[in-house]
Amino acid sequence: MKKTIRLTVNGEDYTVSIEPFDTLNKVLREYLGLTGTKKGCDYGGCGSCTVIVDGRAVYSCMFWAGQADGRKITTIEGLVKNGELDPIQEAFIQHGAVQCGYCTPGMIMSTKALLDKKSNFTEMEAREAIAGNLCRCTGYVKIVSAMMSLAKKSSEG
Amino acid sequence: MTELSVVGKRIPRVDAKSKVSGRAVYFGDTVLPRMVYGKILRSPYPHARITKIDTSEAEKLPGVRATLTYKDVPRVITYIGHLHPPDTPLDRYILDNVVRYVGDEVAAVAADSPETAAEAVERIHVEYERLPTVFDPEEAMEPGAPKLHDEGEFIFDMDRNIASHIKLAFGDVEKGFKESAVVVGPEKFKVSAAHTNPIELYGCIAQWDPLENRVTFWAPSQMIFRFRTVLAHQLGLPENKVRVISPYVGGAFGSRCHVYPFHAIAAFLSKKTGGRPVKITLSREETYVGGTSNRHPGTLTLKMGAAKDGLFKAFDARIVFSAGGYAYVSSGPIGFCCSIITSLYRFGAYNVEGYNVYTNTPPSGAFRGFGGPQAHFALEQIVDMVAEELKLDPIELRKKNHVRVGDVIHWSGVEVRTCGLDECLDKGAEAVGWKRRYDSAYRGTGVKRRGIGVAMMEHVSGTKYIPGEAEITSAIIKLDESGKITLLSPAHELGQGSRTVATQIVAEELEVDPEDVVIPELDTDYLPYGLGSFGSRYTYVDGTLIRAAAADTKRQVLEWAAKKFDTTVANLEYKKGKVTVKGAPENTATLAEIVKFAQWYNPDDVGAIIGKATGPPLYNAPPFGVQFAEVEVDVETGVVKVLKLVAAHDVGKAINPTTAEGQLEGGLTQGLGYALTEGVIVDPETGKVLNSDLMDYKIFTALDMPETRVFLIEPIDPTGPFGVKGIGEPALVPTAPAIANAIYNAIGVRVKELPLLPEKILKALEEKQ
Repeated sequence: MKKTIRLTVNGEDYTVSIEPFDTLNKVLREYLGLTGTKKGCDYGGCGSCTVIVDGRAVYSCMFWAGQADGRKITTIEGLVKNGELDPIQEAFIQHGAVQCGYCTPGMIMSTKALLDKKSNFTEMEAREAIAGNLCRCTGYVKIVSAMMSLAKKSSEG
Repeated sequence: MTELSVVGKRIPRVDAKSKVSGRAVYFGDTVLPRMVYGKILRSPYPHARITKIDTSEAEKLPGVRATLTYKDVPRVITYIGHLHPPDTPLDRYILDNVVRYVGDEVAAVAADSPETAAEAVERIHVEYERLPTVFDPEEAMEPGAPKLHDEGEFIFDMDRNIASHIKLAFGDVEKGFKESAVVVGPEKFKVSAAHTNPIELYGCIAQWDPLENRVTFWAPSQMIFRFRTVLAHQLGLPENKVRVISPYVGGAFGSRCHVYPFHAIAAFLSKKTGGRPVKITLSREETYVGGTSNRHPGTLTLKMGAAKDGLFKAFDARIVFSAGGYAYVSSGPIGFCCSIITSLYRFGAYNVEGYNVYTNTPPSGAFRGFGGPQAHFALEQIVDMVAEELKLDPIELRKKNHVRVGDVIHWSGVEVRTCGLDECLDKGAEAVGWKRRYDSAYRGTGVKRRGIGVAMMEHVSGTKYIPGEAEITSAIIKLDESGKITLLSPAHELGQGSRTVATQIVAEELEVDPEDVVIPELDTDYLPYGLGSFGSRYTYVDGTLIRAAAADTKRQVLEWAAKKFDTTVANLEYKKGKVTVKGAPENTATLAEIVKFAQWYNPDDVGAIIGKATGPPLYNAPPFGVQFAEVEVDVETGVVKVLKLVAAHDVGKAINPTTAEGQLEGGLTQGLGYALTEGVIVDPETGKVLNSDLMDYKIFTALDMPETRVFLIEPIDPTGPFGVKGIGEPALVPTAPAIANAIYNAIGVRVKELPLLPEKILKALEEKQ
C-alpha cells in the first residue's frame, strides 16, 4: 500500500515512500529527521506541530502525507539561512519569548505565516495568528511582544 | 554590595538559540538503533481484580517483540513520588493484579512500530472481577467504605483509606474564638483536579544492557538522581547500574518529579527484548487518564476569628485531599498545604488537620505550588469574608495580620529575614486602581458588573527545614586550557531558565563573559549529586553552591598563580578573569595561562583546576507575593471575563529579570486556568475521565489572556545567593483567590468551588435572590 510522494522541504526536494495513514508530521519527523517540528497531540489541539505549506500555517499532525505531494513546505529548520537566525528567531530570543521551548517552533512558524502575509499587523491579529498554538510556560506575554517588535520593524521599513 | 556586572542583567537565555532553531533535543526526538515502541494497556474499570490475563494473541502479531504483565515483573513494593522513603507511602507494584482507577496500568507491549504496539495491546485478553468503588475522599474515610489497599508501608490508616495525616496546632483555639469579635465559618471550599498539562508528551526511552546488566533511561525529569534511586529500587540494581539522562524538558510544573510505572515498564520490556531500546510515549489522552498526576482535588473547611481591631485571634482548618488510586508524594502536598495555611498570617491560635485519602480516581501528585494553591484559594477568601464583617479594607486587614521580619514560621522554624508584602500590596493596588472597587458606578448595575480583588501568598525556597525533608546539591567548575569554563550542575532546564541563571552566577563570580560558560546535559553518570528543580529551589539552593564552587575555583587559580609568579596569594589580585601581581601589572596571567601552567609546567607539581562545593543552602527564605484581579461578570450568562491581572512578587534579587518575569507571566496563565476552566472531571458513575483532550480540558490561549502586569519586588534576602528567593511556584498561587474575591466585589456572590464556571456563578446568583 506504499505510495511515493515528492515534496520540497526548506528548498530541498525529497521523494518519500509513505503509508496511507502517515501524516506530514510523521514524514517530517521520522522519515526526514526534521525533529524541530514537534508533536504534542494527534488532533490539532496544541499547535506544536505547526509548519507552513504553500504559505499557509497548518497542523502537520492533521495534514495527510498524501496531501503534501507536490507542495512546498517550510519547517523551523528552514529559517536558519547561512548560519544566520531569521529575524523572527532573533526577536523571540531578544524578548525572552522562549521557556521550555516545546511550543516555540510552532509559534515561530505561525508568526512567519502571518508576517509573510502581512508586514504590519495589530496585536489582536498577532494573538489570532497564534491562537491555535498553546503555551503552558509564558502566558504569551513575551511571545506577543516579540511578534509586535517585528510588526513595528516592518512598518518602519 | 559591590556592583554586579552579569547578575541582575537581562542576558538572553543560554538555551534560546537551540530552541528557536528546532535543534534542542527532547526525548521524543531521539531514535536509537533497533529501537522498539512500547504501549500500555490500561484498565477500563476504576477498581477490579484481574482474574485472567492472556497475551498470546498479541504475541502472534508480526512485529511484536515483547509483552509484559504483572506476572513478568518482580513484585517490588514501590512509590511514584520523590520524597524520602521514610514518610512516603509504598503502595504500589510496577504492575499488579488489582487496578485502582480507570487508566491504571494492566499490561504492556513492545513492537516494531507504535501502530503495531497499539494493535497488539488490544489483543491482550483480560478478565476482571469488579470491586466496589469510591470516588469521594470524604466518603472513602467512612466506615465500611471500599478499601483500596491492603498491603504497603507507611500508609497512615489503610482501613480508612488514609494515606497520610497531618495535624498542626498552636495556642488555645477555643479561647481565641471566644475572644473574637467576628467569627466566619466553617466555610467549605472545594478545589479541582487541575492537570499540569505540559505541551511535551510524557514518556521515556529505556535500554537494559543484558551483558553489563545496566539500564539507561532517556527521560525528561526534574530530578535525575531521585529518579535513579527509585528506579534502582524497582529494577533491583545498585544506583551505578542505572543511568538517567534528561534531555530538554518540554514543560514539567511538578509532574516530572514522579517516576511513573511506564519508566520501569519500558526497562522490563527492553530486558525482555534482549536489550533493545524501548520508547514509550503516552498519548495526550493518556496524559489525563494515565495517572500523570493532577493537583490534589478536595475540600478545605475553614473558620476564622478576629478581634474588633482586625487581629486574627483563631483559625481552624480541616483539609481533605483526594490522593487517587495511589499516593504520589503523599505526605508532601497535604503536609505543605496544612503548613503554609498557618504561616502567612500571625494567628493567635490555630488548629489544622489534613488527610490525603485514596479514591478510585487518577492519582494526584506534585503540581506547581504543591498544596499552596489549594491553601491560598480558601484562606484568601475567608480573609476577605472577615474583612467584610469587620468593615475593613481587605488590604488594610492583610497588612495588620501578615507575618513580619523577625517572625518565626512555626512549622519550619524559619525566621523571616525579608518580607516585601507591604510593598507588593501598595504597588499592585496602585497599578490595578484598587479604590475603584468601592465605587458603585464603576461596579455597575447592568448585565455586566465589574469588581477588583486581591490575594496574597507565601512559599518556600527549596526544602531545607521542611519536616522530613533534606536539602542538598553540588557543583563542579572545571577550567580548560583556553581558560573557559564547564559547570557541572544538576541544572534541570524545564523552561524556567536554570541554566541561564547558573551561567550568570558563574560569570559574575569568576568575572568572565557568560558565553565562556558551558553547562552539559543532565546525566547521572558524571554530574555531582543534587536534588534537581522543584520546590522553587534551583536558583536559591544551587545558586549558593555554584557560588561556593566558584570561590573554590578562584582560590585554586590564585594558588597556581602564586606559584607561577613565585609570590604569595595575598600579593595577587583577581580581576576580570586575570590575575595580576599587586603593583606589577606586567606580571599578569590569564585563566588560560594559569591552567596551562598548572597542568603542564612542573612535572613534580601538576594539577587540574576543579572547583567544587557540596552541601545545603544557607537557609530557606520564604518568598511572598500579591496578585490583583479585575473582572467583569455577566449576570445573565455567568461568564467571568478577567480584564486585568497584576502580580507583585517579592522574589528577592532577580538574577535575570526577564526569566523572573517569565515565571510570573506564565504562572498567571496557569492561575487563571485554575480559577476559571481547569480540572479533570471524573464521572461519578463510571470513574472515567470525561475531559481527556485539549478540546475539553481548556487551557488559556493567546486570545483569552487578559492584560497582565508584573512587578518584581526585590528586597535583598541575606540568605540567598545575591539575595535571591524562589519564584517558580509562587507565580500561580494567589491568582484564583484574587479572581474569586474580585467576582464577589462585582456581584456580591461567593462561589467557593473551582473552577469558577458560569453555571456555578448563575446558581449562586439564583440562591442569593
